[in-house]
Amino acid sequence: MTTLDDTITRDLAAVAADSRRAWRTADDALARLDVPTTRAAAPRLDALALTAVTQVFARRVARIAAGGAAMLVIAIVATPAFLVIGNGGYDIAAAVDDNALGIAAWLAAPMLIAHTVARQLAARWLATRLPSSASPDELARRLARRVDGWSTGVLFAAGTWIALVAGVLYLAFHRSFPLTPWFERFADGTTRMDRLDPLLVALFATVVVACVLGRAFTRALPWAPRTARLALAAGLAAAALTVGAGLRFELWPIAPHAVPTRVASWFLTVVGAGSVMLLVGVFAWWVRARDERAVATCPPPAAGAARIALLENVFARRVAWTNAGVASLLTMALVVAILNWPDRYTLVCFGSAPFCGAARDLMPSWIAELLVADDHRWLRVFVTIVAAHALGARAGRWIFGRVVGRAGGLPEENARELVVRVADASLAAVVAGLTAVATIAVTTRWSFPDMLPSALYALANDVARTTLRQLAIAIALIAALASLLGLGRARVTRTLRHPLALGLGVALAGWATWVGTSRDLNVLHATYDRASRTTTYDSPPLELLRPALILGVTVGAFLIFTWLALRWRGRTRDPAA
Amino acid sequence: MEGSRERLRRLLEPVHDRALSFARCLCRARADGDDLYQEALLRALLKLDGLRDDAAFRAWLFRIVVSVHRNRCRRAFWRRLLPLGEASDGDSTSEPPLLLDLRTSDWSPDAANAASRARAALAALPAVQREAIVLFEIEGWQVDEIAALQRVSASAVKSRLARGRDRMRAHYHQQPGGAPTPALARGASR
Repeated sequence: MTTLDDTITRDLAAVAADSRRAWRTADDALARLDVPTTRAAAPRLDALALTAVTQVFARRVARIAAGGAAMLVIAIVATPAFLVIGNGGYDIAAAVDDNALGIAAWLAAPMLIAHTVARQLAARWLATRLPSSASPDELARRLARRVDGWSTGVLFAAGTWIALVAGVLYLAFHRSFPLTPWFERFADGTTRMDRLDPLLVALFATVVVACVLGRAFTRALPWAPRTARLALAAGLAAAALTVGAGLRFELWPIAPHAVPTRVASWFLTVVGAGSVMLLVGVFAWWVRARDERAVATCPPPAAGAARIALLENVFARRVAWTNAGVASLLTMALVVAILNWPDRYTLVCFGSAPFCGAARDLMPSWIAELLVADDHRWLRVFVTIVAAHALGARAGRWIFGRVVGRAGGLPEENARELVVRVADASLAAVVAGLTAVATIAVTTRWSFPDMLPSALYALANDVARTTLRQLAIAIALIAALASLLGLGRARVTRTLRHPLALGLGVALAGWATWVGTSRDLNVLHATYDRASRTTTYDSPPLELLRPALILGVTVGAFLIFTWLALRWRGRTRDPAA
Repeated sequence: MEGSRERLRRLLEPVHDRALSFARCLCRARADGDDLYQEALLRALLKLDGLRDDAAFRAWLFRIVVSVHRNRCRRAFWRRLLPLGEASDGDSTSEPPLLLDLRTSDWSPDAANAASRARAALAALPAVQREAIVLFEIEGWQVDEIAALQRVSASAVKSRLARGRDRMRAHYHQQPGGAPTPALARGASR
């Protein structure tokens, strides 16, 4: 060992000697700082200059859309004032149960969808116009400035609305959403509805302040950082005063036995709304300042930067769809897993069901609640997929910036190669996700009509277990078929694009759907024996028909979606070409 | 900028040799080491205004070299993940131009082989171990100085040195034909 260590030491000495050959003086090294190739080694931000500005524009448009959607949802659903309109309000409010996840899903779904769609559309709209513009840099900056006021105003208004409504409903009413208490009269003759007058005034005032703020930003009158710091401090103090006063004098919550005076209600609302406005205003200023910094620090764009902005948009979109597709597949696999082991995942108890024992404390029950628990499950699944899409787009932009901005070679060539490389994976992931969702949606509707309750009661049912195993195999089959598609082999693609493939897919899916809806496939098919007062689950086993139907739906959906996706890709012009 | 350049020239003069040698030792090819050093110098020039104490220039410059080196290692990771066929600006993936050196200098084949062997073993180390080994074994830094540069404790540096040595030994054993014979290795020191 000593000999080897000596050898290593001698070899390291040889490295030292080698490093001192062909020596460069300090003057030589400093002189080379002016050589363009050395500067080129630094991150080439000039090639990505336009993407930073287009992202700011897209982000601002997305903020307007998401904020608008949130305000709309609050105005329609969450604001109890809507209930006074009449029975129409009851139906809408009844859809929003007092489950926090239900409310979050109802609010998050429109916001996420609006944000994602608006951002994609805005980025694409701008990116396609940049290459043909005489001054793309000026065009992008002008558009980003134009939506600045709206973006800041809507962000402020929506943030304040969400915080105010959520805060009042939670602090004052303890999430008391059932409708009857809303019309219950307190001792002073008022109802909860009357008590919400100050909130309505605060919401209206928020819109007025948002308009003033947005207009101020449009006229390039941004707050100074010092003002923002003062506003932040004042907002925190006011928030502390509101919460502290409410707790000290027991003004929270509003309940029949402790109704605050009207003066106290107004005081809390004014100070509370003021604090929320200050805090959200500082947040909106911070978001805007970050955007402005990104635009201001952008160097003048290099030649070809407009095309790189276009390619960045395409790459981000493809990564987003890839992520959404993979998330769909995994979510469906998770649904099957939850149905297979419902006692491990769920908090939902049904009477004397013996499956809700100590397991409730062991597993993350919110997963089951999120995906399969009640009537809103598909909405939540949809929100999950959209969120995955949004995260994927963000990750795509990050990867694009890292690779194109820092890798060697020409930035535009790198960008094109990235776009091309992710194409097949994106297509395969989208097809896999669509097929998985379609398969699980259709087959669980046949076999597990009400999902989790069915699964809970069917734990001892062999047919249910066999069916779930078949669904798991279907998910694996989808993943395998999508992997084959993702390899991008020309022969496979040509075969799947043939009209016969579509015909076969339609035939398989049609046959399976027709037979599946006309037969009783419910795993909870039960017979009640009056004499012994027992229920026997005697689901029709359908040994061959059930797996055949699942296979038919899976393969049929895969063929249809693949054909459509390939046709769609063939029709859209590849920007990397 | 001109004032910064003059200041950099003045400060660089006494530490240039060590810094360039350090950069070259960190990379598998000497040319990559030169690129690394140039990039570090460029960054140093841009950030020189932030250096308040001229006496701390040596440690400051070496820290920049280390930072650039780690950035390049991360970049190498991204290139492996998403290879784009770009021009060589890496460190551990490109082969050293040994043949060119042998033809144009009096560098003996044994010494060239020894240096190549050690560079290959160094390239197989994680960046932090490579930096510690080069600073300690070649540049003659003390453990405390390395600890201050790498912003870790002295015991962590010792651990990195020991693990780096172990890996180098393992790398030498994995070479075709096993570890080099002492006679061959002696040629390197001449």
